[in-house]
Amino acid sequence: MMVLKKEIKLNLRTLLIWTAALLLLNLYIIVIYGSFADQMDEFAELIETMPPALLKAFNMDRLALTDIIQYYGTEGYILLTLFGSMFAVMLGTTLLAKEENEKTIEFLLSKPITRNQVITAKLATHLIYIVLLNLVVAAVTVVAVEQVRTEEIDYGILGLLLMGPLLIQITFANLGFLASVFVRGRRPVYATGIGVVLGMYFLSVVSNLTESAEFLRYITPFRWADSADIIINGRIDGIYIALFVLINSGAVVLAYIAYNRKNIAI
Amino acid sequence: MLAIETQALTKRYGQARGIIDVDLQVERGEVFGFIGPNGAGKTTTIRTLLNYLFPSSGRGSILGHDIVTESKEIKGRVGYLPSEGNYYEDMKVRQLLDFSASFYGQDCSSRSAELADRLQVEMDKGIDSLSTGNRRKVGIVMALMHSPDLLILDEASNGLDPLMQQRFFDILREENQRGTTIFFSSHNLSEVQRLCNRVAMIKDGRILEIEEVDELRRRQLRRVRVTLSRGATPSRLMLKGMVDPVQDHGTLRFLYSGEINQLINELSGLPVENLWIEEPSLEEVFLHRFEGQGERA
Repeated sequence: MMVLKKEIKLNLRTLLIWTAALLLLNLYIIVIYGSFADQMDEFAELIETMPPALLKAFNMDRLALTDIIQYYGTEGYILLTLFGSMFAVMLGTTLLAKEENEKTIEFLLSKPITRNQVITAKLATHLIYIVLLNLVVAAVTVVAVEQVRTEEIDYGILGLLLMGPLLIQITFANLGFLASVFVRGRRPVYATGIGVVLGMYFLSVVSNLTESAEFLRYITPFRWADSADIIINGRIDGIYIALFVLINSGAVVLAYIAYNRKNIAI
Repeated sequence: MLAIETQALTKRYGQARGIIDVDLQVERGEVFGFIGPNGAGKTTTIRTLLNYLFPSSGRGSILGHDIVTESKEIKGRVGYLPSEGNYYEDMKVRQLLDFSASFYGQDCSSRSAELADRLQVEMDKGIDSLSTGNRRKVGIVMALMHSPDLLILDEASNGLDPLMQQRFFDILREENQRGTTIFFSSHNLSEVQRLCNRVAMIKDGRILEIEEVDELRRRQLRRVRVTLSRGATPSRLMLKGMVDPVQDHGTLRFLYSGEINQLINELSGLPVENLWIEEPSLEEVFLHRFEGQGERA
């Protein structure tokens, strides 16, 4: 509990910066919609002149930009999924690794706490941070969408669009955490984590392009909560929820086991 | 119940030398020295005792608790002063001390304040602005604030100025009088000599010898310097127990481990002009006594 309190306090600035940045970008996207909502037909014509592959890659073939939900699904969604995942993977890979890199783990483990307690505090920290960030962004997004919408919207779908990024971010945070437990010494797991997030995002783009890359949708978490899938199907597929639960619980359990056997090199 | 007990405790890692078959028995209430050159395995031993590292084989216990499975219990009763002070750089000293105290489930504030006062710790400074010596002082307060039953000190007086070192040693003596066991690791033998009752010597990962500090001193070498009158031939002097004789003009210098009486007898037949018999530093003792032994073992 003491470690959790310290963690929450010590990294608060990072959370605030990321939340503010994502919030503003998200708002900006929605405000833009508001500013040209009345010229949407012309905009739709412009979109049709773009290369089909490009439209496909960014789900614009399946979604219409003229509808606020669908517009948000193509333009705003990427912010929370991609940048949100970068934030998440950064948290996951650094919260524990930082203690080892800066050798403060020597201090921490000289106290009467178990390694499990240390891990639990770190996992809880990134989980709380990610949930907080998404809650704030979600609340503001709902209010903003309410302001700019021109017709009735399906709040269920908007809710799913706001929850989807959470699943993806938590997954990246937990996987990053697991990686940071295994890496010895001072190698920066953080940079690799960002690379993996970008790579996974790229795979999800590829999986949209061709039927033969369908299988990728099970590999990249970005496809679990794909905005077009959510809007068209009105739900997040059960198989993806199962994958989410499986991969995350697996990563967390492995992290506990591995950390309890790790030689702490200081 | 022993304060520290290990049986054939071994830690190997990769190519690097770890510790091999370390057997230690530290009694409650003892001040136990742990000496050896840098890289001998002192810190590895301590980190294995405190479960930062897992033993490759062998076992150990501290205050009756197993070092691997009951580390949490051990840490509640042990104060550990690491050789380097790596703390949260973005905290103030006061915050760090409060954070440290929060783990022990007891009120450490008065003891903590008393120690901080004696060691002149500046509470409102940021950790990042502390010098090595000041970090050390913060570390000492944290190692002692919860009145532990066992203190484990790694290179204890690193970075402390002589005045603070004196105060720190005074505090350690008081702690010991209250019944606290002290495990004192150091590469500085005179420090160990000042404080400890018994001492274990470690080199290349193995314990070479464990003995009383008094016994160590009694059995140790003496440094002898003899000046003979002009024209005499000191090379005649060949005694059992003479080590490293060096002849410099009329002066002969050597280390001597034999009987003093025999030395006097032998010297009495020579035209001795001047004679010094001194106690060598413990470093010299260590060097001569165990030269090559680590490699052979």
